[in-house]
Amino acid sequence: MIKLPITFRGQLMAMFSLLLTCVMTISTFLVFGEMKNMVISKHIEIAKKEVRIGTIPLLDGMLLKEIGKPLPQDYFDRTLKNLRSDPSLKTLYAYFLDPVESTVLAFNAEPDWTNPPLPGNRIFYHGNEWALQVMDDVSISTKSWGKLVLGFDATPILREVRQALILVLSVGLIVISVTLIAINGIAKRLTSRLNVISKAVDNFDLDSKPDTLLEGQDEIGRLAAHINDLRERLLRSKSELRRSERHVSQAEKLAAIGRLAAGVAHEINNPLTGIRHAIANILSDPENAEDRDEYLNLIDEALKKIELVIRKLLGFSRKKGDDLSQISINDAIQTTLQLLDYSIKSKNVHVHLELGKNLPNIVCGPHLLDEITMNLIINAVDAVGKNGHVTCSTGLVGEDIILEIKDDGHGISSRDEPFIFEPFFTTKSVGEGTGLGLYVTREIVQGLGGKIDMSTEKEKGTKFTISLPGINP
Amino acid sequence: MKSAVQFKPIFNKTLSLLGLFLLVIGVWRSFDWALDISTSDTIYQQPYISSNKPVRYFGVVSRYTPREIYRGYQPIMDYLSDHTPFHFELKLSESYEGTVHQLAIGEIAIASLGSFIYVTMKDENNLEVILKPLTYNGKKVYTSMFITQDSSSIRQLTDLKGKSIVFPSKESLTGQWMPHLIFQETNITPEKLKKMTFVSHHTTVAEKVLKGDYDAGVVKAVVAQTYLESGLRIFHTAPPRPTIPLVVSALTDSLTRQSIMNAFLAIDTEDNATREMLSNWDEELSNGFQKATDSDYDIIRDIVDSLRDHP
Repeated sequence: MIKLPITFRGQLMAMFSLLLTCVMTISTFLVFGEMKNMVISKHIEIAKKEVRIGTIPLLDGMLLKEIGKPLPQDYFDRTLKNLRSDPSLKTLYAYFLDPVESTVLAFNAEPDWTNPPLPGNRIFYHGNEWALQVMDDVSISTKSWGKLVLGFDATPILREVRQALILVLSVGLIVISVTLIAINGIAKRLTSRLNVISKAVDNFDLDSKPDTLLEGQDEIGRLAAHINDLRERLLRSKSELRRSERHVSQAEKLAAIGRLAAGVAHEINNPLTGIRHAIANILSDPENAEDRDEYLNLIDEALKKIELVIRKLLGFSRKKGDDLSQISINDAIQTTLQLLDYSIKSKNVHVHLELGKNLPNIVCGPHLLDEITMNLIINAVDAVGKNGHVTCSTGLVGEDIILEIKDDGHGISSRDEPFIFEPFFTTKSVGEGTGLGLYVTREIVQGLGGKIDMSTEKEKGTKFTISLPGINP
Repeated sequence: MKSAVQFKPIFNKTLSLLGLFLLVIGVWRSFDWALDISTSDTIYQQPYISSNKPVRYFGVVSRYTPREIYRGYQPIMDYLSDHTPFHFELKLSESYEGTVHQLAIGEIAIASLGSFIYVTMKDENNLEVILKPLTYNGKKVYTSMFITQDSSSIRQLTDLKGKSIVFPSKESLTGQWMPHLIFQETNITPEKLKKMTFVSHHTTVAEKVLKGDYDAGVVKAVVAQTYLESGLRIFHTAPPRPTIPLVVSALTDSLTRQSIMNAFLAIDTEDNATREMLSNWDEELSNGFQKATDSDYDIIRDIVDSLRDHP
């Protein structure tokens, strides 16, 4: 590709050059055409004068002949031969024509012109030379005795025309050159001011002290003033924007804390209530071993739920400092399903496992994969409700480990879709979700160098696909 | 700040080649045009013969040079050709008598003769005057004038003694009569003159005086008037006489004769267009015409008789 840098000055010069060249070309042609006509007319007039003078002795001869005076036999031939000629004209041929009889009464010519052209007034090219032919009546008033036709060498006309052409072209080129130089100077002066403005705009920095732009009453001066005004307005807008951002940020924080507190309180409060009731029942009948074991199991379940909530909060706050180790994605799924076994069975959700074999391990903190699978499977189980179906599948695509959690729930509405990975965004009732699960999951996946995608279809379900880099065991 | 315009290479190349080609063609054609000095042909066409009318010839005595006669009489021929059933052409002669001879043998149908030659050769050649021109003030008479250079000391006829003088043809009334007039009025005989010469034409007389070849000369009034602005002065005027006669012969057919008379007598000198046309005619014939009779020239006969009595 060829790049043609066209600066404003370049465009200005190009346009003026084109315009000037067109104007000068037309002017040159017009002027030259006029000069050419003048040169030709001048020579034709000289030639006409010459031919008129030539008619005088011929007329005298014809009149003498008419009144019966004797004339030498070769009178007319000699007259043509001795025609007085202008020094600037070289006669090529001359003949005296009887217009009525169409006979040549007398003739004299250079060797190359023994067969001269028909009578008439014209400049023409004959053989290898230009000739100017003029003709005049040998007449008085309306009485004509014949036509005198003279042919002159037209080379001097061509020479003068050529000189005129050179002169006109030279003047044209000089005018074009001088004008373009002047225009270039003017353009340079104009564009130098624009360049100053351009550089100032390029270096536009609202945080530093502005350069002083050009001043003036013309368009460029006004442009500079407008840019200064624009800068002032931008400065004010930026200041107002920062203030607004601070307000919004503060409001969002407060809202997030409120949502978090409500969710966490509810999440923890329910198991705590259960623990308190279990302990109260155990204390009311400490001897009943069967009830005590059942209540202790309930207390354990409640504590696990509290632990899970706390772990989510830790993941959100990034305050975990677990050491890295190699974890199997399939193990993480199995562990998670064991933890969620009670919830899954109580809702009679059918979980299908399609786990790939010999998958490479993933290098990460010990509980990160558990968190990922936990969050996604809890969401899937919550989404399907009773008798729903959840499919967990793993596999390998290239060197990446793929984890898919698919449910056949109601799907995610298009309105909520853009916000599902935002922290504290939840469609669940208060106490049923913190709005941190997907946010934390995405943070973990991205932290491990992977990516997470979601596809959903109304009333058919949702599928989360996670791709994570694995290492060979 | 720079902006960049990008063209596809093929477009740029094609455009450039096309531009270059057009430029070369344009420059070549421009120079070709610039150095072409040929002009459009104006080929001479055979003149259109305006009519197939029968030709009649009009004679004029050699009172002027042939060139001057054609200048003054060719427009008259054009007028007659337009206003008669004939095409008229001039036929000149070397002498006054030559014109009379042409008329007598029917070579010419009509002639503008001199008064003297008419009265002297009328009878033997069966001539008949039919018209005579009016002068500028409508009078039917004309005259001869004595001329000299503006700077000359000659003021009257008596000053001619010892001077050289030139006259027109002896066949003209002026050439015959004026030498006698000088003698009658001043008693100066030819011997008392330094030199006395006769030349062919009235205009030749005026030119010779103007050039200083002669001290004085005598010419028809119209010629004298013509040369006044050229440096000549009139110092004496001869007695009036009839204007020149337009003469036919017995061989001139009646239709030609009548056609000519009708055409000339129909000239309305009050009409502006006609006056414009007449301004190109010989001045002696440019003020209209009147029928003439032989008796109008009796006064010339008297002069001729007196010349015979005092040769």
